[in-house]
Amino acid sequence: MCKSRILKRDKVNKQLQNIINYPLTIITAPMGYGKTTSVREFLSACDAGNIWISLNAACKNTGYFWTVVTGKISEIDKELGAIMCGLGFPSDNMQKARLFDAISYKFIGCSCVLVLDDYHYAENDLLNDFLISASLCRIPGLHIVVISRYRLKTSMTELIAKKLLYQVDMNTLRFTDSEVSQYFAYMSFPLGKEKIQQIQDVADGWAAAVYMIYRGLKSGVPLNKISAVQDLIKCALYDHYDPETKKTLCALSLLENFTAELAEYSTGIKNLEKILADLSTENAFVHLDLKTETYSIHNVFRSFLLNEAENTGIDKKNIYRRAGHWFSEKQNFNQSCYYLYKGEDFESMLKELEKPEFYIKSSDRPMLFYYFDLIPDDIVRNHPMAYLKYIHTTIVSGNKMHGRQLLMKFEEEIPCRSYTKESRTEIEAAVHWIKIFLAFNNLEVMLQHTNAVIDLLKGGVPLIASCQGPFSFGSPHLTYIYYKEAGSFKKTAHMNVELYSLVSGGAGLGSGTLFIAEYALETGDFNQVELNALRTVYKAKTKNQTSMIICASLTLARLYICQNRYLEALAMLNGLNREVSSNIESILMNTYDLCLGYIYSCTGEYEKIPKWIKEGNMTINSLLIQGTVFSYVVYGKALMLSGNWAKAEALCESFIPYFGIFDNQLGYIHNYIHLSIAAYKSGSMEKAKSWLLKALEIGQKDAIVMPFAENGKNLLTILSCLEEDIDKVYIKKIIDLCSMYSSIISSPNFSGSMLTSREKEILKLLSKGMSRTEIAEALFISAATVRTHTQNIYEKLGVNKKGDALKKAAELHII
Amino acid sequence: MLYSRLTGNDGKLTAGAVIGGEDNIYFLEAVPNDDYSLSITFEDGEKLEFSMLDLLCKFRFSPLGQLIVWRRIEVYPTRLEWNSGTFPVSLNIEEIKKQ
Repeated sequence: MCKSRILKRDKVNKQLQNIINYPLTIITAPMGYGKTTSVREFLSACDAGNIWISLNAACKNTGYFWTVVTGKISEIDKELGAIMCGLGFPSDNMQKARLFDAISYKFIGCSCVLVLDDYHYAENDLLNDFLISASLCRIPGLHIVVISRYRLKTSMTELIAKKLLYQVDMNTLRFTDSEVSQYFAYMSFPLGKEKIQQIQDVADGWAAAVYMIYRGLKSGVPLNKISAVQDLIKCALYDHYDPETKKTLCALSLLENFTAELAEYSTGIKNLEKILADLSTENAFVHLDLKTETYSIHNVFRSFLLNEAENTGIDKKNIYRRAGHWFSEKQNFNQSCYYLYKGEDFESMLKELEKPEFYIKSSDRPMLFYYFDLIPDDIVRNHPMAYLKYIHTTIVSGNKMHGRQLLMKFEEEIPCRSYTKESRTEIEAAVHWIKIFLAFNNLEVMLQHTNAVIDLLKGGVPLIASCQGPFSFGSPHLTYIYYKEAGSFKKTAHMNVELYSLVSGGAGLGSGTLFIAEYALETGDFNQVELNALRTVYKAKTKNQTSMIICASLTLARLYICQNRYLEALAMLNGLNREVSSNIESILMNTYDLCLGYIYSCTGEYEKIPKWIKEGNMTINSLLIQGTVFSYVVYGKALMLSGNWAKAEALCESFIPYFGIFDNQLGYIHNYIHLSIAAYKSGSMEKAKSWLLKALEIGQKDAIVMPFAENGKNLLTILSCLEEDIDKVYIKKIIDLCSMYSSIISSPNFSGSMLTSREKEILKLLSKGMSRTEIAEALFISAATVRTHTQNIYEKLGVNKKGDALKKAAELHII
Repeated sequence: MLYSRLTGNDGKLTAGAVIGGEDNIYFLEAVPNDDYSLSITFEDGEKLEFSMLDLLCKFRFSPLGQLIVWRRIEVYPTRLEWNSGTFPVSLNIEEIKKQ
């Protein structure tokens, strides 16, 4: 038995050094040139950390690819993995920017190599484009290595020209005559020049062949007797094993990367741990990754074994199935489906999906659609709950029309199916539950279906229901979604929206008090806002209802601004950041941005408004329609700060039809106000008055005042010129609020309460226990300047000593 | 012939060839002839006759010795591939260039 060893190859290592000098390195060479081994060896001796991701053919689906990538990253950095998973595969520039920001933040001060091995299996235009964008972004500390058998289809000329890409090809990896000679000597089997030449005549620098020839010669196989590679593999790597080991190897070749535990469970072969340990010691083509304790078989050998497996009577399907069940037990949906599909065990795939605890995250949706399309229809029909989950996912993914058609067809088929009475009730309840989503934004119909579910299940939860979906559909304002007729705001706000939480295991918990808080805020009944919004937060937290917490936080932040409590408003936003970061749903990241955009528009801090909002990049496919339309409210608010009134007027006018999709009355009010301001600033008081009247017309039917107050500074002159027949009491309330809001925002105390970035920096250093002199040295400023900054910090925080300042800053999440 | 595509009028390698090599060259069509030559058409319409005879004695290309495998060619933008029954045998543009 010969022990496997790896030759240190200086010329290859020298080239691979460039991995840490470039954002992207692409290594291309056909199978068996030692790409993976070389990179693995290089990284094992490299200071930078690494994340190794082996891809397979299913990764062509970007959803699948992303789940594999984020899953692996989660093993190393749970928080980053969750953020990436939440964001989903970035399909537009905004998502890419957000993703790269998140990664940049994580990699500050450290270096990490992300290896995408066997990339050729997954390669497609979207992935290539993603690699190019990531490289152009030059994320500090992140180095991506792509290992592929073939050159990528997409031209990399831009990256090459910008010196962002380093390429290693087969010429580098090819074994030279001298390296072949060194290798044989290294393996204690020195050969003469002539013999080396004979080897190179047939190996031609192909590393896999060099290794196999060595094994063949070592065990006495004459080289001149073999001319076909299949024979070489057979003689050098396979024939010397006993029948049991051969069968084991063939069984293992069915698995891609595997732990001994997985292999033992899937193949049913006992004591595999010992067998695998021996194999990996003796055979370089059976590799053990010590870090993850995962085995893999070299593709050259694995291809041969897979072929052999056809003739050894191995029950391939059973091994795939068992591997699928093993991953199912580990709650790894992707791997489970991957193997169950290979084992044609569609029944188990669907049963997996039917589990009540199984929630399909938005990032898993592409995977669900990918596999569902592959399962034969007749099998799907035997699993109504899985099918209904699929229909529901179709609807909430934005394909409402298609989802409706599928549901109608499904309902037509119900009478023809022989379901038991119990399962028929469950199915009917699930259908009503889906119809809640189909009736979206029509609260009355939604509640009718909710009540139908309650009646059918006597208070139980449908099997397909989940409390994990974002209840606010991407909007940071809940009543905004359902208030769709002027004069109906109060009625809407007092409807029993929270009933839904009973049929969904808690989704939307807190929505009842949120409705009241939002209504109170919009109508200026400030005493009712804080308590109800805080109740919402506490209630929502019991069921991790992040979307409710976001809505309540925006309500509170708006209230706090109005009450001159800027730092508390800021604290609400900072608290939200953490809440959203730990959530699995990407949609909520955008919702959070809308909150930031809204509040910073109100405070006039244009630079703090998220870039995509300022730029009006509304092509955010991860947001559902409601959120997208609310984003036009926030975009409009941002436009009010841009100073480009002609542009603001033209754009806001173009937004009007969007609010008509679901008749969002608050959307209309905000937009008419923006149009009025833009017209006034452009010099047309008549137009300004006309737009404002439209807003007031809706507003006065429901006594809405807050959207006007938040634009108080710009509206006061227009309001004072109005002569039309508008309720005087209503107008007076608006003018009073506008004056108050305007004076708060403009007062020096308000702007003074915002800590500058320098003050925050000093606060951070103070929290590290640094003295004034040390801070002065660190920031290259005088101690007297530090003292002035410190006094300003104390003043703004309303404290008079360091300890209190740090405590307050921590409470407000400033540091 | 292919090499000429990577050089300027003066016969020196162009900047594109140095920095990106065959980055923008793609296969369009390849016909395997029974004399083990390949009639290749590139995406830009250029054609090339390429003999594989010398490569057949190498282990990597040995499965192509069987005509049934040799004829089973698949053309991808950046590679030619044959399904040998065990693992795929592939030929990249840079290998053609090297020959």
